[in-house]
Amino acid sequence: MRYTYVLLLLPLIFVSCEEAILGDFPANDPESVFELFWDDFDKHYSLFIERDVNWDSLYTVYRPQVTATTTEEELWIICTNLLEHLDDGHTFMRKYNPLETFVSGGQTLNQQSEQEFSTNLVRSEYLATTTDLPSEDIFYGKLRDKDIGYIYLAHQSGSDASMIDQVIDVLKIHKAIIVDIRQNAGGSAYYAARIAGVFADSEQLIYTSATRNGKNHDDFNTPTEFYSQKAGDEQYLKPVIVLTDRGTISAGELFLLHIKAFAHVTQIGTTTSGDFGRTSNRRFLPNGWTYRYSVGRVLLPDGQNIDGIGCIPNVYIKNTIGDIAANNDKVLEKAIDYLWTTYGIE
Amino acid sequence: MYKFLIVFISIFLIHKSLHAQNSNIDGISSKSLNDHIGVSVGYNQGYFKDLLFSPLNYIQGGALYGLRYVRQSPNDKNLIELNMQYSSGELNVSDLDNFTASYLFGKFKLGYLHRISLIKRNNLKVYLGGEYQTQIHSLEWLDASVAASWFGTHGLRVKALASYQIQKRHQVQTALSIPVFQSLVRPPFNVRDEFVDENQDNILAFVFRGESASLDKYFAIDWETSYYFELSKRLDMLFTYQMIYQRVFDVHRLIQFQNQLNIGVSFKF
Repeated sequence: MRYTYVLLLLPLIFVSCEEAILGDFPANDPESVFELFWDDFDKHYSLFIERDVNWDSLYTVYRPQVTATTTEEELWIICTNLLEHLDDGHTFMRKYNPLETFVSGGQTLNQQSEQEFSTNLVRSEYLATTTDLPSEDIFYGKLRDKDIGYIYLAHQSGSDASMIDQVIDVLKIHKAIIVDIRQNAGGSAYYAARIAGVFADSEQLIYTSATRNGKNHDDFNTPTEFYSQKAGDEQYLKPVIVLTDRGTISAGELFLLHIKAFAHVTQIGTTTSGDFGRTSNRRFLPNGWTYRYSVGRVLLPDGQNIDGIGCIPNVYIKNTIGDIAANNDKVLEKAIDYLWTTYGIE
Repeated sequence: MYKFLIVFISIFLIHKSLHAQNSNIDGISSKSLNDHIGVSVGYNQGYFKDLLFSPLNYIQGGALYGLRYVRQSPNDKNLIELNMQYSSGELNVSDLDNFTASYLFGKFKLGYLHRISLIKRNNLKVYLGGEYQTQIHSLEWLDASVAASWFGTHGLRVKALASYQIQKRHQVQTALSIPVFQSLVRPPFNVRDEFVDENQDNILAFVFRGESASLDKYFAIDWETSYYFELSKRLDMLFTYQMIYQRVFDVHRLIQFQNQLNIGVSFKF
């Protein structure tokens, strides 16, 4: 009988022994947090080689700046200064209370580019008709007094990419279409490929994608090839202008790689962000901060890496904040002018 | 592994079917109550660390639901057990409320146990056998696109079970199982890769993307002890405690320790 009692009471021993089982909770002091942060990037970040960053030498610069008495604010500045060397728009760090986010790769210029484009301006000054697809964050219509269709894609992560088919079905009567992906925040590579498929004139290799899979900076899995594919009942093969800016990022840029491969497509605007690869899970630090980084690598069919470079437009033009304030979208105006001078379309 | 499972279930069903036919031929139904089916509810408390997900230590807690079927041979020589569990709840980090993640897991077990005749005590029965077990755990923070991870195992375990009749209506039972061959399912090195992205809407693609793991890669111990109280000839009430410890020895270490307490009823027929 006493064995029975022992058996029934034994479970009590196993409750409340967290650290004995899991090991110590990572220390929440400045030096330990920095070490954990630096080491996680060292083991997982994918673009040290492509972006020509010597992570070990950066350690020798920044690690001595962190001491046991470093304040949280000082540690934030040290860590974000370290991240800025990556110049990677996919890499960011966030702290809470109060909420603050640092994005690597020219945060000030990114914020400025947001003000150099306005969807409200496009709707109010350039479109004769506007239809919204809220589930996809798409709006489309016809330009005023022109035989030109217009589609705005805010990101590449809606609920159903095939909704683009009905947009093309409406706009196919026009002589040209302007696809606007300025400030396109990215999303899914597969969604992007499906949208681009309605403009496809051919099926061809667009890029390869690989993900870091080991502790060495050059450990990657076997690259996966991504091809353009015709999608929808029919493809739109008349002239297409795609508008880009610095805020066109990630899967927005993958969409651009697809669509620019087609002969009837011209890119107008500014160079895109240059952040193509896959991103990590959100990562956690014991002081309550989170961060994210790139874990993938995208190469063009010829092996060229344009991470950190971006897609360079066929026709370069840039709005200023003043242009937008004056109700003038010079980039869109240039696209309209290009269609007239190149194709005689108005 | 899955062929084994299908063969096992088929043999069981054929056996059951033949038994039913014999009963009909004889024109009498079986008087012995060899089949037990039960449901249970409880609480799953534990500790969790998965370096693929986070370097932090998590405390796990959530509701637990179980369904169990046991068939004993008329002479108590053999036992067949089928067990399913589901749990969902939270993973909390001490002093960091905004890092609370959610988890869910499901488990399926099918075992065969044979009574060891060497131990001859009227109120003690000892069984030894094997068990096929599939378990899948998933966890996410905010939503799966922000931070997620998963792990699971499919494979065979050795299992020992002892049943002790304390008094006429009181019984305790304890069982221990240890994996011998497992297919271990975990995310790739950086959690996401081309395969994961391409199959994010196809759970089965993840669930069965495992690699074989011997004891130096994956170790687990599953100990369960139950107290049965016979409410009536056909109905038992039971309290069960289960302790599960799992560890993956890898660059991305995983440790899970769960205490599960549940209460249930078992119907005998």
